[in-house]
Amino acid sequence: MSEQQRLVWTGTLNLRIELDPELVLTDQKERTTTICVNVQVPRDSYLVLYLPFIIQKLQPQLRVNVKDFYQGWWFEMENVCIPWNFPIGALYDSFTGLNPQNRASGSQENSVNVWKLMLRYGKQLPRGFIPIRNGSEQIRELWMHQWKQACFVMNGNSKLVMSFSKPDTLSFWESVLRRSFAGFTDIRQRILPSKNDVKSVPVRIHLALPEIRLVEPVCNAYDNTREVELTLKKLLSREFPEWFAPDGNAPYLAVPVIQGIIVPLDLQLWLLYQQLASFDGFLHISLCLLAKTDDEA
Amino acid sequence: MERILQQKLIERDAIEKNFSELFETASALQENGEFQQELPDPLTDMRKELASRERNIADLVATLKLKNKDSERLNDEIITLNIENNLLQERYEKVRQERDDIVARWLKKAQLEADTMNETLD
Repeated sequence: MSEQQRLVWTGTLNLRIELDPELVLTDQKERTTTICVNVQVPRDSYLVLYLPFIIQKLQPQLRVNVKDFYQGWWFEMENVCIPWNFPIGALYDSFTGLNPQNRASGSQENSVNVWKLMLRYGKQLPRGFIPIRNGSEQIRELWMHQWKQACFVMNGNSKLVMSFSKPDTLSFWESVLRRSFAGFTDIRQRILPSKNDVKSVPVRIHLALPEIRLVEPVCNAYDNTREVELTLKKLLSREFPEWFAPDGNAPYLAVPVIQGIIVPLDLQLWLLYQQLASFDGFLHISLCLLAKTDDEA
Repeated sequence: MERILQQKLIERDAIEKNFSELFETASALQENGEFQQELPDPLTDMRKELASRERNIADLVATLKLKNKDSERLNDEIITLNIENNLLQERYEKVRQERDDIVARWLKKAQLEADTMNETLD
């Protein structure tokens, strides 16, 4: 385990979660006051895992009795529903169109980085939102499926993950819940192939502009001769030639952000994966489009 | 290269973790994510009451809407019938006028006949 992996694992985000005014138990006249809770969550986890914690904090102010901590709840940013099945950090990077360089230049000694979200509840879920019918068990299953996919992409089959013993699988999940880095890396290392055996790299690219979109490209770690390694630059200019001009003459119109940092384009994808992959076995890349003012800066 | 990543991650944390102690650390282990029924407390009962009242209000609003629609329909019907009534009234007036004319003409004719008969008798 490397220091970078540890930093990825321990990264946190400050959240300010407002309660939907429709859900607040209050006198009509006082509807103007917002009820919110400030929490700190790991970047590398699912936000919905913290729903019970958050709802319990807000429970005294709720006008409904909570029947289930997962079903019917969802988060929104500026009225856009946030999917729950990706790591929070990756969602934050893409939904806020994070440009770490701009943020660093605007940041001061006394500034606080906060992501404002709204917690909503309703029988009618927003379109495209996966319903959670089976609580944390469903979340665990989805996460295991992500690892099966990632294992298949890397090794060419999912045998490694499928043949985990029950205690191993459970302790893998427990390490996510308890934020145990040692427990997590122990099992993760068993899934990752060695440098020479890796087939492809599990990558997901999140776009927030011009529309919210997820791209899951095929990323063979080596070319056909198994001599040239795939770099981030090659991948991006193949998938998004309009932003990353392949000939290198035109300036690039976007920057890749992984785990909240801008990564150098000439790094090998497999190396990036090993250092910066998320807890669901995928390397989540967010593309931040550069505005004109960014170019000048 | 790995040093660069490490450095950037540290810089990221310097911004994202600034004053993060003001934010309570969330835990994913709350009751193991399972929902447990709490002991009954007055607030729970009041919320139930509120929910049932809100349902009641929603029902009543729906009924009111239906009734409004009904009354609108009835209003429309009244207007239609009024118009029909007016038309019939007009026709009735016309026919009555016609009848009066005819009766007058007939009377006139009868008078004429009576006069002629009287004249011949004389």
